Amino acid sequence: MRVLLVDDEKKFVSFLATRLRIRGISADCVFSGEEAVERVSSSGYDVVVLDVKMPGLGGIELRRRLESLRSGMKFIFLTGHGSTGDFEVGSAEASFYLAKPLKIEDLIAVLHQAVEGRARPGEDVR
Amino acid sequence: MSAAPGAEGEGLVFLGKATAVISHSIKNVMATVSETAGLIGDLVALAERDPRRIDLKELGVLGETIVEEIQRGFQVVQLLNKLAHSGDQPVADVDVEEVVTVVSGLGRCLAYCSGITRLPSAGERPRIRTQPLLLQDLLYRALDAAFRAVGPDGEIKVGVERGADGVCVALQGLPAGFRGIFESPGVELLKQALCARIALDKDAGVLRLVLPESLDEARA
Repeated sequence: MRVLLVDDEKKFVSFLATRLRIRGISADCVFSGEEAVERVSSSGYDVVVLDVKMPGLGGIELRRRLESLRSGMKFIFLTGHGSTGDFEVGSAEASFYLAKPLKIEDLIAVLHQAVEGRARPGEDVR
Repeated sequence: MSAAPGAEGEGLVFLGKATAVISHSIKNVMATVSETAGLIGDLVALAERDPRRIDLKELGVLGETIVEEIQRGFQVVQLLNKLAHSGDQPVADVDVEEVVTVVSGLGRCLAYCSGITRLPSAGERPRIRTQPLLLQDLLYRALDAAFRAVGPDGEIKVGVERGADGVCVALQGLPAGFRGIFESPGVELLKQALCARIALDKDAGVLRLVLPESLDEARA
């Protein structure tokens, strides 16, 4: 599974990517929507985990751009807000949501759910 | 009581928006602390399996990150406290520089308006008698409009100066196409309530909010 993480909170997303890699998941991270477009133009990913609110290209518009670049990717939205009312993501059946702060096990379970269409508990490295 | 019926409602909406922005920032801080602590735990767990993998320098950097994030969170909470107290008195003596600091801090919490530069003021810090909550609301709307015009990587310079007709908060660095903040009915209400004047110098790219020294006298 190849995962791209997109969030302007640089330390948060960098550490999250490292934690996924420790657990054997191939994870890259970028810090803006524009960087994500560039990355997806040249590399394929199974799942994009993206922040809803980012400077410049926000998560909602970013998803549209990435879908037009490459089909078949799944999207998991992260938000600092806890309410699903904050999301306006159109075809909601193709998207997953997680609120920050998140548990890595929850993220891994949702990653598997997104890719395989079923839930699988996240592995604990300990 | 405001001279513009409905302006208090605008202030309440502003306070709600500001609280939402701040809660978002606090969650981001907590998310980073959570991932940093989680990564420390992961690295320790890996080192327990193979002690050669322990990197004390990396652990030290991660510990520093937690301290820095807690400081960031503390500043955001201080900002929330100042905003909350701005509604204590409908009309009060206000340090305009302080209002600019609070609203700039709120702007920095927003991903798209972090490029705020303060211009040093000449002489003593201007104080005026005004409605602090509504002044914050008006200034926030001006900054929001300015950054929507210049983009998230843009820079807006904010200065405060005393003039012949009151105290002026000037936003500099606006692009040629900036249309001002005049179209919203809420802005009109705030302008009336604060007896403020809003002027846009399109050639210079400067938006000026001119506020009376004393709201009581301006209303009289």
